[in-house]
Amino acid sequence: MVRIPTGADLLCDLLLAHGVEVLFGHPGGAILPFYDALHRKPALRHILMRHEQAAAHAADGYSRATGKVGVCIATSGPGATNLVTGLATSMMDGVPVVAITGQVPLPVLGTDAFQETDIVGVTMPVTKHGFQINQMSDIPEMLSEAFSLAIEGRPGPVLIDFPKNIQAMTVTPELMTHLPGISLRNRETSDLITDSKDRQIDSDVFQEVIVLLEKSERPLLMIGRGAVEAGITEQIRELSERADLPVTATLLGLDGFQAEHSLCLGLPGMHGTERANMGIQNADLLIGLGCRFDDRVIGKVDEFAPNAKVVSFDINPSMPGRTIEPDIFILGDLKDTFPLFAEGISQKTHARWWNELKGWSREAEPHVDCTLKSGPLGGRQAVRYVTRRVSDCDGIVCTDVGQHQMWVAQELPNVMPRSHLTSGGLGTMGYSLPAAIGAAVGCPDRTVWVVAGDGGFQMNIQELATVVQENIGLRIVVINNQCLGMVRQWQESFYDRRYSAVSLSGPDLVTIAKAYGIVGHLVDRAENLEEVLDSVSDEAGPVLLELRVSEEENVYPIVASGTALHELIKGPSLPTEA
Amino acid sequence: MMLSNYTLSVELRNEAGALERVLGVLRRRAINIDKLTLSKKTGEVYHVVMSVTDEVVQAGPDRIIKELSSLFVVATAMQVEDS
Repeated sequence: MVRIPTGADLLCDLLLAHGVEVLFGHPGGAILPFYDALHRKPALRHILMRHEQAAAHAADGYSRATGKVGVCIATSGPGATNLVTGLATSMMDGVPVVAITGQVPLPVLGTDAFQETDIVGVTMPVTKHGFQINQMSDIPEMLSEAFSLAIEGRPGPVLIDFPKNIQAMTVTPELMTHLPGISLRNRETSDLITDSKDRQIDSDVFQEVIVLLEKSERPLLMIGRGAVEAGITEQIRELSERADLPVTATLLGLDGFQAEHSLCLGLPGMHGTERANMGIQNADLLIGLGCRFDDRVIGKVDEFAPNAKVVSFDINPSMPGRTIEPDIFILGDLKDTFPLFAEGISQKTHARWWNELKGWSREAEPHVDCTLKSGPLGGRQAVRYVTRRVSDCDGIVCTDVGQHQMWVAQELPNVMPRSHLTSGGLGTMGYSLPAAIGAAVGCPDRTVWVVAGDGGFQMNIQELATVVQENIGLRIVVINNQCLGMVRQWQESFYDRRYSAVSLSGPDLVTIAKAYGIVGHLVDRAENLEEVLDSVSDEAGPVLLELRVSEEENVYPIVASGTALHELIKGPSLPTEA
Repeated sequence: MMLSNYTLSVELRNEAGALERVLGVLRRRAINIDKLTLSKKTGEVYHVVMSVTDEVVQAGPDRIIKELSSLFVVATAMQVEDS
C-alpha cells in the first residue's frame, strides 16, 4: 500500500529542497509526527542535542561556520521557550537560523493545553518573524518565506510554529500536484513588501566617499561581521594594501582580516588595542564596513572619532542613529556596494599617519611577559598558546563570554574567515560548546576548538554527551580561574572590590570529562602547557583541557563605561584617569 | 511637561500578530500610545494610525519609522500631519 505523506513528510521534503542537510534538535510530544517523518528521511541528518538552547546555538554555530542557514527543532512549551536565548543570540549578531517548533493541535490552541506556549508571541522581539502554520497549504509558502527572510537584508532567526495535528494530517491530492511548482517559491510573491522597500544604489554617493578617501590623510577602515557574511574579506585586503589603509576589525569581524597583517591595528573598543582606539580617535576618515558601531565599540558616543568623517556601509536601514549618525550611510549588501567604492580608489601611501599609529601599541598588554617559564599559568598566557594552535591547524575557535573571550580576541593570530565564532551582541555564556558542535558538523574537515571559562562552560556542559555520541573531535579548553572573571574584574575596578557572587567552586572538569567518555588533562603550570597541547593535537576524538589560572588576572586595556576610547586604561600598574 | 502629538501611519500585512509586532517596536522603547485606529485597506493590507506623545519624538521619529519599516509585516511606515 502506498503511504500518503503527511504535513511532517512535506516539511522534511521541503527542508531538503531548501538544501538543508543537518538539523539540531530535541524531540517531544508536540513534534512527534515530525520526528516520525524524519525517521523515513535518512538524507536529513539530525543531531540530538541535550538541551534546546544548545540546539539553537548549534544551528547558529553551523551557520556562522558554513554560511548556510542553520536549522533547529524543538517541541512546544518548554522545548520552544528553551530556544529563546539561542534565537536572541542569532538576532543580535545577524545569523540566519530557522527554528521549527512543535505546537499543540490547532483545536486546543489557546486553552492552556499541556506544553502549550505562545512561542510566536514569546519570540517576537528576538526573531525577524514568526510563522504559525494554520493549514496544510501554508507549509510550502511559509517555509520558503522563512528561508528567504532568514538570509535577506540583515540575516537573522525566523521561527515556524507547527501544530501537531497538521504535522500528522495527510497531504491533499491537490497540494501534492502543486508541490513541484510551489516548493521553492520565493518572496517575490509578497510584492507589496518588496516593492516598497526596493532601493536604488546612488552612484554619486560612491564618488563622494571615493573623493573623501583620496583626500584623507588619516583614513581608517573598520570591518565587522557584515564583511565576513558578504564574503568580501579578500577584496578588503586587496583595497587596504593598495591604498595603504589601517584596518581594525571588531569582535565579530576579527576573522575578516588577518590579525598578523602589517595593516591590522587589532581590536577596537572596550578591550581594544591602543593602536586601534587611538587610531579611531585621531582618524580624519573612518569607513565602517558591515559593522554596527555598537556601544562596546564606540565608548562615549559624543567623543567617538571626534576628528573623523564617518562613512558606514551597512545592510540594515535602521542602523544609522542607533548609536552614532554616520556622515554618509551607504545602504546595501556589501557584495554589491563595496566593489563600486573600491574600484575608484587609487594606489596611495600614508607614511606620516602610519608613523603616528606605530607610536601606539598594537599589543594588548605589551608589559605582560607571556613566555612559558616555570611557574603558575596565566590567563592571557594560556590563551596565547592555545590560539596559536588554532591558527597552526587552520582551525575554528568558538569562545564563550568573559575574560577568556577578550583574551582570545586580542591574541588570535591569522585565521580564515568564518573561523572565530562568539556571541558578540548578546554576550551569551554557554554559547561556545554547542556552537562548536554546529561548526564541527558543518565543517567536518576542520579542527574545532572551544575556549570557555569555567562559568560559561557549565551553562551548557551537558553537550559533552552530544560530542561523544556524535564522535565530534572537539578540542575543548576551559580557562578555569574558579570565578566569574569578568564580573570579578568589574567589581574590583568599579565596585571597590566588593566581591559579590563571583566565586565558583568545582567541579573537577577532568573527572567530568571522563564520566562523559572524554580524555581530559589538567594544566596549572606554565612549563607543562606546550607538552599537553602537543598531545592534544594528536588526539583523534574529543579532548578536554582544564587550564587552571589565577583568579586575579584582569583584561587590559579597558575603556571604562562612559569614557571615550582615548581614555583607555592600559594596565593595572599604570595611572588611570577618574 | 509639554506633550506634543505625533502621528504614525503604518501599512501592514493582513495577518495575525502583525499589529503586535508594530506595537513591540514602540513598547521596547517605552512609548505609550494615545490613540489607535485600524482599518482594512485592501485584502492584503491593513492600515494603522497611531497617536503617540513626545516620547517618540525624543527617541527620534525617523528612528521609529526606520525600525518599523524593517519589520517583515510592515509595507510602509510614515509620519503624518496632525489634524
